[in-house]
Amino acid sequence: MIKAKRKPVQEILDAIDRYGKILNVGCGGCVSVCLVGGQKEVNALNAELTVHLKKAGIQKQIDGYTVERQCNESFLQELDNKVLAYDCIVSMACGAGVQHMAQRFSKIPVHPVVNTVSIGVDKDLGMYEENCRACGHCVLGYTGGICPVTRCAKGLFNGPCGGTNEDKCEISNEIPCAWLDIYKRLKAQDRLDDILKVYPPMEWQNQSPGPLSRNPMREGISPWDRGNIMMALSHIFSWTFVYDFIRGPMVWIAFIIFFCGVVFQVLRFMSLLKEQPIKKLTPGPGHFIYTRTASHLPMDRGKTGWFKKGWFKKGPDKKDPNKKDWRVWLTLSIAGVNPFMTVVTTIFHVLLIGVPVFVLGHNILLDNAFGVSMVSLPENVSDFLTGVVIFCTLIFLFRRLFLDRVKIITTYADYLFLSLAAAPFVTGYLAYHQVFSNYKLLISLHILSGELMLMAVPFTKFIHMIYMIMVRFNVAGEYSFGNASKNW
Amino acid sequence: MFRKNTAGVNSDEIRAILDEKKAKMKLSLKACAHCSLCAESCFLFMGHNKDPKYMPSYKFLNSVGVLYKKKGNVDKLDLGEMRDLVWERCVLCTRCYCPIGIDIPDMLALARRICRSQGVYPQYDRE
Repeated sequence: MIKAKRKPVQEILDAIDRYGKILNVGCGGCVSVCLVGGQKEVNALNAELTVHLKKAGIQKQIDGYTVERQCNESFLQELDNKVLAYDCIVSMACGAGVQHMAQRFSKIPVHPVVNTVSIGVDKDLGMYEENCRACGHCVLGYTGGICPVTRCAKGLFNGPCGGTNEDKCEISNEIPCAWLDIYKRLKAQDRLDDILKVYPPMEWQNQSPGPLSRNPMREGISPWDRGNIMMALSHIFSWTFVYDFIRGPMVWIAFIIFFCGVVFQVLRFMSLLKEQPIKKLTPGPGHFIYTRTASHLPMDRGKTGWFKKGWFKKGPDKKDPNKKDWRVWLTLSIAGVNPFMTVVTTIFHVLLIGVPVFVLGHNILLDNAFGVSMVSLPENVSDFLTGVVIFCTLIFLFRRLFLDRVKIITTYADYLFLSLAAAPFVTGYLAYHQVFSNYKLLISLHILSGELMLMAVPFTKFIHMIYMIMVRFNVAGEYSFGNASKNW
Repeated sequence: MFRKNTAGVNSDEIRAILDEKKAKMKLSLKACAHCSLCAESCFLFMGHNKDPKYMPSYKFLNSVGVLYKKKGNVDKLDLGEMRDLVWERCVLCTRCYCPIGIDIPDMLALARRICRSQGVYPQYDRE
C-alpha cells in the first residue's frame, strides 16, 4: 500500500498559521494502515497541535473527521456540509487524497500534513520497504519479481552498471545490488535467458510531465357474521359474497394498488437518483481510463445502445481489443460463477411473470371482460411451466433450509414471501388438476394469493423487482446495464 | 431488569447519520432478497473457505441492517462486533456483485462511518 510520513509539527503549524477554524481530515485507507493518517492519528495530531498552540497562546478551533478514503468521490460526499464551517482543511491522506479533496472543495485551502513516500510493503510495525514506483511499465515477470526501477539506485532497465561492489550497490554498503539479486533469483529458477532480453529504454512516463496514458483507451367486505368466525374456511369461501368480492372488486383494488405503488416507487427512485456529475471523461494527460471496468462511464453515452457496445461481438479476433468479449464477460459474471442458480433464478423470474400473462384461463377472463386477450399458451405447456415454477420455488426452499450461506441470512419473512410467490402457482396447479373436490375454495385461494402478491410488490421484499430494473439500468456501476448514467 | 450499557455511545448522533441516508438504505435493505448470490463476488469469502460470515449480504444485514432496526440504540459491544464485521471482514474493495443492484459498499461504508463517529475503528498498531 501507499506509505507516508507525518510532517514535522512546526511545518503544520506554519501552514495553519493564518486560519482560525481548521478541519483535520483523516483517511481510512493506506495511510491508516501505515499508522500515519487514520482516525487515531487525527486525534493525536489535533491533541499535539492544541498543546503547541496553547503554549504559544494562540486560539484556534481544530476539529477532526475521518473518511473511509479520500481518493474516492463517494466518501468525500459526507464532508460537503461539514467543511463549510472551516477556513482551512488539513488532510492526512496521500497526495492523491489531498488533491482530490482540494478539487472537491476548491474554495477552501487544503494543506497536506503527511508526506507521501512510496508504495511499499509492511516489513514490521512502522517499517516499510519501497517496492514500486508506479512507473507504468511492469517488467517484474522477467526480473524474477525484483523491481530494477525501484531497487536499483540508477533504475537501470537492462542489467547492472559497472559499479557493483561485491554484492552491494556502489552508493552504499548496506544496499544490495538489485541486478545481482535479479541474476541470483533467475538462475535459481533456471530462466537466465530472461535477463538477456533487452528492453527499450524506459520513458519515465511518471516522472515527466507528458501524458500519463500513452495509449489512451477508447472507450449501466364484509358479511362478517358475528359469532361465526370459527367457521370452516371452505364454508367461508363458499359464501357467494366473498367469492364475488375476490373475483370482482378485489381484482381492481389489487391492480390499482399495484400500478399506483409501482408508479410511486419509480418516482421515488427518480427523486433519489441524479445524473452522474462526471460529464465527459476524456483520456488525456493525467487521466487514464481502464476500460475493462469502465464500461459504464459516459464515454460513448447516447451514441450506442448497450447491445452495441461490443457485448455481443463474435470472436476475440474480430473485435476491438477494448471491447468486452461476451464469452469472457459471461464466464466472469454471475452466470460463470454460479451457473446453476443463474439458470434457476432466470427461469423462475421469467415464468413468474410470463406464465400468468399467457395462461389460457386468464386470457378467457380478459376476453369475457374486455373483449381483448393475449396470445395463450397451450394448456399442457402452461401446466408444465407452472410445474417448473413450483419446482424452482422448491429449490429456493431447499437452499433456505439446508444451505449454510442462505440459512445464515434467512428470516421468517423470507419463508412468508417465498410461500406467497408460490401460492398462486400451487393453488392454480391444484385447481387445474382438480386434486381436491372443493374447486371453489382452491380457485378463491388462487385469486386471493395472486391479488395479495400484486399488492405486495411495491411495498415489501418483492420490491426487488422494481429495484433491480431501476438500479441496474440507471445507476452507473461496474455491473450496470446499458447507458446507465445516474448515481444515487 | 437488564439495561443496555449505552455509555460512551451517542445514539442521537448515530440516528442523525442514519437519517441522512435513510431513503436509499431502507429501500436497499428491503430489496435484498437474501439470495446469497453475492457471496462469490467477495474475495474474502472465497479466501476464507466460503465462510458465510464473509458474505457481503451477511455483512450489511448485520451492520447497517441492525443499526436501522435498532434505530441507533446500540452499545459499545454492538459497535465492537460491528467493527470486526465491517473492517476485519471487509476491505471495501467495492467489487461485490448484487443481482438486484444493491450498493453494498456504500452500506458498509455507512456502518464504518457510524462506528468512527463513536470512536470505534481499527487499531492497526495493536493487531
